Amino acid sequence: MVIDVVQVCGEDIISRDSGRKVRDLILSCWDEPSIDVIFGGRRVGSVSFFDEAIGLLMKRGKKSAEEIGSKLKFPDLKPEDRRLLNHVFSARVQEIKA
Amino acid sequence: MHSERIEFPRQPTIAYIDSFLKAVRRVLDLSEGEVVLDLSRICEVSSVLVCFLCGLVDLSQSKKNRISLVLPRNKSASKAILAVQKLVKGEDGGQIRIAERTWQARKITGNNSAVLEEILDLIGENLRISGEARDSLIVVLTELLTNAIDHSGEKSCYVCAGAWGRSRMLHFTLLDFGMGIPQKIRTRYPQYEDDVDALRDLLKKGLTTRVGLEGGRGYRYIQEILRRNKGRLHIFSGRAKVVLKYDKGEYNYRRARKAFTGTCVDIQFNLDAAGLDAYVAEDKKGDYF
Repeated sequence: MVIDVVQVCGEDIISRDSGRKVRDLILSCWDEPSIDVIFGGRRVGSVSFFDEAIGLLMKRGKKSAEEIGSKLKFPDLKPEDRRLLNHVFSARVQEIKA
Repeated sequence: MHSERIEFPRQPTIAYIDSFLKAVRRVLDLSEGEVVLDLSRICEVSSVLVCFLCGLVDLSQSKKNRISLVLPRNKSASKAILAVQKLVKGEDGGQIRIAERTWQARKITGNNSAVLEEILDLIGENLRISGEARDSLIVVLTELLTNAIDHSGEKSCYVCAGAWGRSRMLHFTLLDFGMGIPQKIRTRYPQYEDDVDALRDLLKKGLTTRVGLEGGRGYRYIQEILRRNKGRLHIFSGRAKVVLKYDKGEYNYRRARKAFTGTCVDIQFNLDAAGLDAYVAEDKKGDYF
């Protein structure tokens, strides 16, 4: 299963509203063995988007960090965005554990 | 016909924000009149000046006011302001897009971060910006843009970025004429009657204005990045005036005598430092992806 973020969200790949669209789509196809989230070479750079789309899969989607980490793939995510995503996501993991 | 002559200070920098906020109030109070933006005394140009000029021209036109510009007597300032004069003459075709060698101004009407990347790319043609500094700037500017577009209720904002003189500080101003941050906070937290308290808790506790939803993380990253960058963050909204000088360790929250309907955020970013790298490294908790 492939989710093309630019196709889903258009030019807005930074807002929480767009993040929520992506999260809802991820949850709707959660039964797929693997989900590739692609960005078409675009830079995201948004804490809000990553938190809403991926970080809140735990709190709102009731999925575990391990499930999310193994199911979701980000094949074309830029290295600087991957680092930001990991930071935002791990902050949510810490909150859940606390 | 009623007329308003708005004189700008000799040094139109963020230190003189009160004169810009007063100018907005005067233009808002005038309809089908004449607005004269008198820049004759200014001897330098700043991102906050350009941002407010774009906003005042746009605001005047929306109030059906005739608008004119008195150019600066200072030659270099006058040359820089010529680009703004085109807006007054309506030569911009309704778009606000000014591309100068060391500064850029735009009116942004959506959550499109590509505009921010374009601004940094163009400024980077004449000013050395490291990859790490650029990454940090993108995160800061993206969060400021989504806040302005999502929370102001206006769905548009004015931005200007530039470096002046030999400074290695990039100045970035973002202005909207929406409801303002304190008012927006009160839609979820009515107990925040005081604008300064609302801004203080937004920055310190991460209040979110999204009813029933998550949020409030953007300003945490902005502050953490600017703290490590030794930059500055100014926020003026409603009656709150916040000035955080991370380079000097000075943090001030003040109350303005009159309210500003809108939000002006101004950052100063040290291009010889970054911020995001250090924050992520210090706070690293593990990789999942």
